[in-house]
Amino acid sequence: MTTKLEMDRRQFVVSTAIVGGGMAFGLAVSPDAAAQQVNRQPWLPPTEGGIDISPWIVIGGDNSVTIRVNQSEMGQHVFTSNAMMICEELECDWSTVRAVYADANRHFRENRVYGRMATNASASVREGRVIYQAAGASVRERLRMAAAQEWNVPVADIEAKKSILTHRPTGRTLTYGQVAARAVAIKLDKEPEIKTADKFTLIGSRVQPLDIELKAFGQATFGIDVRLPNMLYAAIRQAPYGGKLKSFDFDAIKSRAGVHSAVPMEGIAEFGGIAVVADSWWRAKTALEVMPIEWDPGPNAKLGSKDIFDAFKKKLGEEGPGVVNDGDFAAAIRAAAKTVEGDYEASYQSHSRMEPLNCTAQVTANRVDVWLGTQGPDGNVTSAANLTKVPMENVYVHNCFLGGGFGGRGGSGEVEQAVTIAKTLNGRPVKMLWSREEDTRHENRYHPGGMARFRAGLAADGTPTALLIRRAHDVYNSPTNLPGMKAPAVANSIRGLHLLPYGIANYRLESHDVKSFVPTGSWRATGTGYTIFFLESMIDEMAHAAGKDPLAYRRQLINAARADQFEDATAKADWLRALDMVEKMSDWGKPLPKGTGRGVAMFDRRAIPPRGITVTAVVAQVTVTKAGQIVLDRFDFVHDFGQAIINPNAVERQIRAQIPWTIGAAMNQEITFSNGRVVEGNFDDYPMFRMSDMPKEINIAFMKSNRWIAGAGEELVPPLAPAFCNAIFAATGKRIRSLPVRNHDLSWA
Amino acid sequence: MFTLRVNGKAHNVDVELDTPLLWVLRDTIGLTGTKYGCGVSECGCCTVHINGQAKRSCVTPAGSVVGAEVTTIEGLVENRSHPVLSAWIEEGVPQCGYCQPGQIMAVTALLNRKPKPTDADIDRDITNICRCGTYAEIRKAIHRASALIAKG
Ligand code: FES
Ligand code: FES
Repeated sequence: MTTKLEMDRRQFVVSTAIVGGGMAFGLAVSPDAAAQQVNRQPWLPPTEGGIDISPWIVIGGDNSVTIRVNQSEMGQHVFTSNAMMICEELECDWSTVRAVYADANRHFRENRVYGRMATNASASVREGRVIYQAAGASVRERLRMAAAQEWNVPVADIEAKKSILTHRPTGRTLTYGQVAARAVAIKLDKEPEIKTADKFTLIGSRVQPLDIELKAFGQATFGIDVRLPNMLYAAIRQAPYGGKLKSFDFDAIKSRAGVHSAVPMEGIAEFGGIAVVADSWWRAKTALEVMPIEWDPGPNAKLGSKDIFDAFKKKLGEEGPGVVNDGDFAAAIRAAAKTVEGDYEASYQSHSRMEPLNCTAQVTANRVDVWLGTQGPDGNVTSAANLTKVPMENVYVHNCFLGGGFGGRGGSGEVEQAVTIAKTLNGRPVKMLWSREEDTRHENRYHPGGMARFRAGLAADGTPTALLIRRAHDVYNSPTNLPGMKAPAVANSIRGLHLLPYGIANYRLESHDVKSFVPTGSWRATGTGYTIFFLESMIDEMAHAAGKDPLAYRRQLINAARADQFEDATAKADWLRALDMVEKMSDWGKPLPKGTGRGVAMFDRRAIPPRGITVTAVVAQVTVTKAGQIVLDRFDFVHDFGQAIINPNAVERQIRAQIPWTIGAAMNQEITFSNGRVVEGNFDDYPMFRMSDMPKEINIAFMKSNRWIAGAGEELVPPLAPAFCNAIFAATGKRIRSLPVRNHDLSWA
Repeated sequence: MFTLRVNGKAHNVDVELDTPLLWVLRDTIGLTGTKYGCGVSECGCCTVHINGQAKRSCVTPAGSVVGAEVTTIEGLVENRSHPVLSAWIEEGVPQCGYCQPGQIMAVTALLNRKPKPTDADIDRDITNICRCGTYAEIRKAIHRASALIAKG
């Protein structure tokens, strides 16, 4: 496999040089563990002491800078990117920078000082940048003033650079560490302006993640790795959805070696069930497996996938609430020269994070401690406090490294369950761990399945004049009503369809919410993971019906769109630019052998309410063997760079890594239900994308634009699946209208 | 009670002989670098070396490795300049990092057997799952490690 970065300076920005004060990428392994820049236990600072100069920044006597990060580390390298945003303004020496999690307990004690602690929606940089830059700039000014006081000179004469304060006229210097204590007392009359992108010296450089060694050496403490003196272990089984625990027979297992107790988990809503506690997790798990348990299966005991999808299908046959109603679809479709229609379907998905969900808890009369990798430590404080009646200021969440997040980690019942078990243990800590099977079968936040019907009318020249999209879908557990929409709708189920980037005069979007018994929640890219699969496949079908090249057809439709169909002033032009770029870099139009095809798709995030965009375009190239085996040949990505990207290394890795995530799901993954339960249990029946599935070639081009991009961790999930399926169509003539692809016979003669 | 040799040290452990080695390493001996991902030999997170061969410890009964030399990631990183570790850092492979100890153990075993693996060898041999999707970086790091080994 090769990864090629485009270097055309006219349109593309890709920096391969190491610039600014960044630690050289590829620097040798540091010789000793003491140089650790993030503690193995990331809730603890790498070094004790120092001057707490701001809630975000500690300056050490050794002139080091420790930055408190209010986001969770789950593979996106927030310890590094968020620290870079402070370092940029603080003008400190990057090689002295360390990072630690911000403390959710302090957050509550100090009037929610860390703002948004939840890590989701690609927001770490988008919502954090200005806050982090401002925090760094503020402390830099206080340090300059402290030096001015020290020397009794005008502050304007003090320069701050690389953690050193220099009095320009005399060349005298002080380190940050030397003046930090004085700076603590300094208050600024006015907060300084933050830098604009053209002034950045560190942001945009390819720095090595601060925690890369910990992760490579197996020294990062994930929730599952927490070990405490006198700790017990718990294995659990959760009640069927809508059901509850009826009885269990602890006597049957209590004489097994190491078994401590069985704890019914009740009063924690859908997270309830039964736990077995033992002196090792293996003993707890094996005892749980043989303990007789009776469940009240509840009202869903007979329901399965067929019932769920039959309900969607039924609704597809009924006119739904018109969420969008531009022009007159009914009249336009009657007048159309040609119509195209079809029903699409997307399966339920599990997060299947590599580290199964877990939480360690210790509950005493007036203090609660929990250890876990969580995307929402502040929310965990609240739930632990509620469950124990211990005041929030005495609840401590020790956030660990997360073995994958992808939406909702920490909020799937782990804390409620571990605390419920710990409450019965007289102050002894307990590590509760879900087995892989529990994690797959009962994860409490599945990516919801759903369907979409489309009906399009084309004029004689192939121009689309009418489009109806009717959704029937399971809903996210936390529905968001769209402001300004005529009928109530669930944003995640229609996001991306509510405002097309294409000019189609008569467009109607209908949406049926069909709530099933399945608990659902955020999955990488949320609802757009399927809405854009539907939309971008439908556009492809329309292009095919029109006898047009699908890439050229998109260009025509974007050109025909109104400016207000895009979120910002340059977005329409950027869509067109991205399309041109991806056309060129993918060799679009160049003939391919039979059985090989290219597919294109685009997206810009289309958030509701608007909160910034990231324009992306993808071309996938696949070969389908005569036997119907799919080989991924090549992916070409155009990705919005905006004004700046904090750490291009991290972003390029996120871009490449969205292939395994998305194509793995589109190709092979499907959570199904039978008798009210999830059928799949492990990676044998919920298969994962592996090394041998990787494409031979991945090309990434960044597109510079005027905006700050919305994010980079999930923006390609939506266009990847349709680009892939459109490529399958180009290769075989077989249109994939339902995922996963493995359910289709792709063989050809 | 029986004795296991792990990273060159003897450990007396008091567990059932059929307890998977993974849990003895993690919970009894306290070496948590070896991870649990599936428990059924699908993911490779739990990969360790038994007498130099890569083995998935979640399906290896502890009693079956009495007398054998077990090496975990903790043993491997005693040599901080191991070429595979250097390559891993230089390529910046890990995202969340959870699967990485298992990947590294699988790769070192492969390189011990085959110092210059082809892409096809890698596809065949490195079947560990990385949910974060770091496969492109893993492949590059394997080739880099192979080059480092060749340089000596
Ligand atoms: S935990 Fe052993 S192979 Fe997955
Ligand atoms: S780095 Fe996260 S699972 Fe591999």
